[in-house]
Amino acid sequence: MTPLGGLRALVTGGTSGIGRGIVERLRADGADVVFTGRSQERGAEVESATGAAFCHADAAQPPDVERSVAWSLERLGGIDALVNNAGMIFQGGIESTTPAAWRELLAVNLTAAFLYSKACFVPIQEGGGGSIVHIASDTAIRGIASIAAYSVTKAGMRMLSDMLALEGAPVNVRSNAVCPGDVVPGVQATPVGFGDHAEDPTNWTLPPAGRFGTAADVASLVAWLVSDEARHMNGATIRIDAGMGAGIVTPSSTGS
Amino acid sequence: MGTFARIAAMPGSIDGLRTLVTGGTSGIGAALVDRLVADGAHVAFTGRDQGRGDDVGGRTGAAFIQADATDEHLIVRSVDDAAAILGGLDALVCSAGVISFESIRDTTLQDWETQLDVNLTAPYLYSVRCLPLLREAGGGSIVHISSDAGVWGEQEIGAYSVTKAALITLAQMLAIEAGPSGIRVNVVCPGDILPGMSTTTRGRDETGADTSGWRRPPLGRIGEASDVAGVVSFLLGPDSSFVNGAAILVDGGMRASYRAWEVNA
Repeated sequence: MTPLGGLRALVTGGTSGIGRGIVERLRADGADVVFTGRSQERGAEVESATGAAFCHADAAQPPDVERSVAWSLERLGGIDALVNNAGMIFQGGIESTTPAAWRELLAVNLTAAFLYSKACFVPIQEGGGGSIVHIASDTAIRGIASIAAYSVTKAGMRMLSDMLALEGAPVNVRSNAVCPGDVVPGVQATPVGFGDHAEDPTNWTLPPAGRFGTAADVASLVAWLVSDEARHMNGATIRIDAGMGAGIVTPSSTGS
Repeated sequence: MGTFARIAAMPGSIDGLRTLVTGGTSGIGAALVDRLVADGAHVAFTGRDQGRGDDVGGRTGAAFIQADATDEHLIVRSVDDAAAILGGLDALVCSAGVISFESIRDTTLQDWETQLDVNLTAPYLYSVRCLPLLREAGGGSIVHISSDAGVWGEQEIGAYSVTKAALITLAQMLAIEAGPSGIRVNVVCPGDILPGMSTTTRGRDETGADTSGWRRPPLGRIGEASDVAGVVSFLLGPDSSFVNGAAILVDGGMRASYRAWEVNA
């Protein structure tokens, strides 16, 4: 089965976590894939494991965005799907987020998605239409105070997805926001020099479903969204969190 | 004992509240300065334009501090200046904003970054710089001015909508963080308001705009800056003492349904 045979996809931040899972899934479904990342070593590993092409690029650097899109167009002969997945996290509240960390979070989680979307929009349109998928977060819908600045950037990303959906609707370029809850392995990048603010899953609450999400869980949704099966999906914000964000559960009603 | 604690005993009053307003030289910000001073608050306000600052300061008695919301050092200094002038700080209202009338695709990196700087990073920097002062005062209140476009975006102001959506979450995160210190943080989301945004990187200056072609919200009129100022005054005062982390639409009902303007079409 190659449900995505012929699809030309660019995945940002594909060397680890959810991004790697997306690369694996899209390849397994038959798509031609270019993925970006900062680590040459991890990139080479995913490349040989999946047959996708690695383009070394730092999402925080606008010239890298431009170069990696140009390289993808050359390599794939066009782009039908963009997955804005590259992201970084900062564990802490707003007051403990330094201006340097704040700016890097904005650059990677929000400005990179803006620039990649802009650069890929016309190629997707000219290829006969396609879609952009933004890997936002459940924090884009409702923030989490312990990852406060991250939540702020993801709320912005969700709105970016909506605005692109409005712009793309008349020309068959769809844009949707995927909002994962706790996923293991999670976000591996933190702003430069802030490694002690990395994601720390040790105190996470297990969802009622009994397990954390996996990259493969998220990748199945992405594989569907970029496919023609999802042709009427545009401007959607989709939580994928096993129900964690559906409402408040009081201890007495959990049955435990 | 901070001023806030003192006025908390006087229901409905912001008399004596030491308040910093950013972007107070025009539009909603200027109306805020007018209203808060009229309500008895002690106000310092920022803006880029010395002439307009002198005008608003002259008519209200509020203290003008020249500062550009894209400049981190000027932001820090303006907070310090305000605290020195007012003898401390009980409240912060972040009203400075910039808008660009263009779709995402037409937005340049420079326009994108200017809007992020002024509409999102400046409120973050102002909040972080002010929180210790509000704690020192024994509690207080912060109000951010977002937009109805932050709740439900608009294509013709795509990047602006993105920054204003992120700002709502910033306010909510601050509300969680500062709540234990007795500091409330709320965010107001105005719809079409006159006089409106005067600071654009691209597109129209809405001050004195002809609004005859504008869609009317269910209430049948375009909002006035004073409509927003009234809500902010409420949010700064003790009558809103249990309101925290709220995003309040002040839009005449425009975001209450799909195509809300059609009721008046």
